[in-house]
Amino acid sequence: MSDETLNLLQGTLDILVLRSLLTGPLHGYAVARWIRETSEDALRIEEGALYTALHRMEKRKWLRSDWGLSENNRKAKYYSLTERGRQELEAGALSWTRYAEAVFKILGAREREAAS
Amino acid sequence: MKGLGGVRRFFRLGAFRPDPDEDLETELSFHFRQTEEELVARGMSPETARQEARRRFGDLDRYRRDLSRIDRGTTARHRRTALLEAVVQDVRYLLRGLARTPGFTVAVVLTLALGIGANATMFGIIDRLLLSPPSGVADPEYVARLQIDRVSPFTGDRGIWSYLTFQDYQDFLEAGGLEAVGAYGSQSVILGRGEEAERVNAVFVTASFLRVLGVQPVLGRFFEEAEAQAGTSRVAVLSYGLWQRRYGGSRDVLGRTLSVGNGSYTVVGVAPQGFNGVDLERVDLILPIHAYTVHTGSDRWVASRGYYWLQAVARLAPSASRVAVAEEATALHRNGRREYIDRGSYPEEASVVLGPLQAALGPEAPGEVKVSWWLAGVTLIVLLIACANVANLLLARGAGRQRELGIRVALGISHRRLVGQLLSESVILAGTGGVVGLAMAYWGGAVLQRVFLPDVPWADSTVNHRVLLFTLVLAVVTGLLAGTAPAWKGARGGVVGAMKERGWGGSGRRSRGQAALLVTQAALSLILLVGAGLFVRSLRQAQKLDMGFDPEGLVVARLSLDGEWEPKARLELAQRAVARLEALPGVMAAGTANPGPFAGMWALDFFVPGMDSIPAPPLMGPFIMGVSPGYLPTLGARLQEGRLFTDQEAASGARVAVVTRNMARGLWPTESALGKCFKLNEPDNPCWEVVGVVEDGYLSQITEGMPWQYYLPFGTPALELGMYPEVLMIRARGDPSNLLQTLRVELRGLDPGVRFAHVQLLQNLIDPQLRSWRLGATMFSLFGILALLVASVGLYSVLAFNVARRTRELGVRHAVGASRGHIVGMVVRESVGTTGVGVVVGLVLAVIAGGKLGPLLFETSPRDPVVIGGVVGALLLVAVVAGALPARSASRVDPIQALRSD
Repeated sequence: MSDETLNLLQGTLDILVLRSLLTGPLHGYAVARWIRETSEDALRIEEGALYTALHRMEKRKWLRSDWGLSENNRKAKYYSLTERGRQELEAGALSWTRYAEAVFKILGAREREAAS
Repeated sequence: MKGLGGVRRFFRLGAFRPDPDEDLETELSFHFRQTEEELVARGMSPETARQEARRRFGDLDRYRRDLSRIDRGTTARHRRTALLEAVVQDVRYLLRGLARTPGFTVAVVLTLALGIGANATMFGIIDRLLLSPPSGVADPEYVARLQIDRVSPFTGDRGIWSYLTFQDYQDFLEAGGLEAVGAYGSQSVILGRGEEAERVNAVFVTASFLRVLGVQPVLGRFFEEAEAQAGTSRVAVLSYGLWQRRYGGSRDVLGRTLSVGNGSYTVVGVAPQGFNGVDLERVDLILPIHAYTVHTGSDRWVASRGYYWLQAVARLAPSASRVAVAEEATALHRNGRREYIDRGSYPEEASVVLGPLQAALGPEAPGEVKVSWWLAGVTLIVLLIACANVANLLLARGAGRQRELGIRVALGISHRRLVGQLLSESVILAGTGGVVGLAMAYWGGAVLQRVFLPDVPWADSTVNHRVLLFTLVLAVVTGLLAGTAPAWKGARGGVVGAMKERGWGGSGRRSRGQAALLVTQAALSLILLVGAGLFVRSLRQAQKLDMGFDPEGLVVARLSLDGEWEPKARLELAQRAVARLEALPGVMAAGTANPGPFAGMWALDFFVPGMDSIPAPPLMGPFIMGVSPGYLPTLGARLQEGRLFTDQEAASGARVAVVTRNMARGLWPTESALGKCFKLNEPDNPCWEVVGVVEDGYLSQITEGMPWQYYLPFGTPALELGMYPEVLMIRARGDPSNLLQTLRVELRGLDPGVRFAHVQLLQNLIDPQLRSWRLGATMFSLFGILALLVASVGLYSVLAFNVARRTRELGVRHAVGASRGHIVGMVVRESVGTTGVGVVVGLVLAVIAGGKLGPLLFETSPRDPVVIGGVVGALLLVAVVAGALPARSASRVDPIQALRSD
């Protein structure tokens, strides 16, 4: 991985995956592409880790899966959010935002200190 | 090959059991193909694209392992959910089906409820009598009874100790592997005085007894060691029940003075709720062991080795070995009896064993307990008959449903699931039957315990959590038992049979399974009915039994005296009482005795000069009874030889005795007993001379055969043996019930020291003796009739069903000239034939089981021809009727109509 790419914490990956499914069911390949494109290639995630997250969340019943046909008529496994998954996404997004805000505050505070 | 794999996968799609690894491969290969195609579309060479896709994914082997592990958990969970959904769906389906055929459902549920209810009731009773340790005992698994493993030649019981022997053991054993050893003896006593007086059950105990059981008082305290020792031990502990009933649960009861028998005691404590000693009989009052000397006016009970009246219990140290303890106790026992063993009057091999605490598990089990075991077996048979019946009904229903089952199989329901469904149907039916049966057990148990086991205190209803669990298990097992064959047959027959169902209904003959079930039912019913017949006959025999005297018109009176009475004073009082009563116009004769009728049996060491040891009496003993000269004439005892006692002999203290015929024959088989000598307690004591022989009589308990009994006249020598008058026996002129009140008044007016006179008909004492046969007769008859009813309904319904299926065949036979009688005869022959096979099988089993039942019967052979003949006749009659009814209606069918019907 290059320096520009960010390493992700486990919980963060879960949130990203859940977020990708908010608009509707996707198969694993589509989830990977959605994250890559939406982050404009800033996040490089090993796709194996992504599948691990999908399967683990399915086991926890945050997601459920159904077999379906892809755009080019191949058999593909589609994931969708369950009610619990939706709640987890909300809770995760909220705490991640607070965490990020806290980090921003600290980063901003040093400048104010220097200015006063 | 690839194509084949695809086909295989297609069939697995959506199957019940997806392969998680295969699914994972499908998912991953889709991912790689998509990624590679996208990269190629952006201009990469296929080879580079493949490498890039791999690189983006990361360590493929490692992720594949992780994913596969996660998936295994997920699939297991999915499988469970799917299964649950299937079960819920099936149950719904079943309930709908059962609701559509309410007649069938009610019949099956009721049949099963009868079977399960009977079993739950009996289990509740057996559980209370035999399985549960006595209530209130701490860590009952460490408490055992100390018993002698053979019947003592001197008493009718085993495990009965004299106080001194017990004390020897206590000291030694408590030093060994036992934490504590305690002893107790029971006796009913009069509590209170005058109008308030009542008869209660007292247990006389050593202080260690309560320690052995680990009981703590709920109020006050128990005895101190010193209080239970000799001297004036005048303290008492109340049972919880008596405290509540008589003293309203008031705390002031402590320190109150109770008058019990002829003594008075201070209440020091109250036993906890439910505590009832270790026997089944109710305990009201707990008194220290030495109070028994006050109660009986004789210190022999604690001072002599010849008086066996105690039972011993012991608490084992957790580390103690039962074998070692028993060995040690046996060594002690033999040592203590060395003198007698050497003399040959006590068996060398007598040993001490640690017996179960539940009295009913021991050899002393009362007849009711033994009968209860049989009844439990009987209820099981009733349940088996019910199962057979339900199985038959299910088979019939299955046959009617073949088309439906066939369609479901064709629609793709799996064979396993179908069997499962059919089985769940029978389990649901049995479960419902179980619930109804529990209600029956609740009421039935209450009735049973009140009527037949009134002496056993029941802490609560016979239905407790153990009974609930038992019933639950029983219902499931019953459901499976009744449902397996029909389910298997239904599911198997369903596939092929369904589509070609109709028409002539095959040959119309019953299946072999149905016939086997009918034979089983008939055989089991026969066994039950034979059992019922035998018990009814036993009860009859016991009721019309020659007691050896005439119990009609006899009244028994027992006096409760104030203060302490010397045996001599009691003798004089008794003589005055007899004189006074005999002066009454309603009294024909009166006499006194000790022990009273059905109030226990006492034996002393017994020696006959010139015999090394006396031959063992068939029912132990010989038993002693002290009597006034008027007692045997009052009873109406029939003199066989010699004479009865004279007043003069009693007054002068002559050592003369009257023996029963059995005893005379047993001891002196070849010569007359008259003039013979026997000695009591010690071989060098003075002679008692036999002056008369009387007919054997049932004076202590009604058993098959007569115990050896000898009578001594009340006089100085008898008093020295502890024999003073205890009860009065009065023969009334005319109806004795009119006399009871007069007798009470007269006896109370006899002396200021008479506190209370307990007067009752002798018949009241005889009735409980008949209880076990009455219990057996009633319950066996009840269950036997129940079984017969269930079996005949089963026979009838199966025959009726088959006749209905054969309507066309019978119609054709009718059309070609078979007479109505011929058709009826054909069906009846079939019914009688099946039943006949069952009767033969049942007879063989009944004869085998009868051998074991023998000891519980009374002067009735287990192969009584009247009983067996009657039952066989009754069963065959049922078979004829059950066959004739449907056959008659079938023979009325219009042949043309029958042929036309689809």
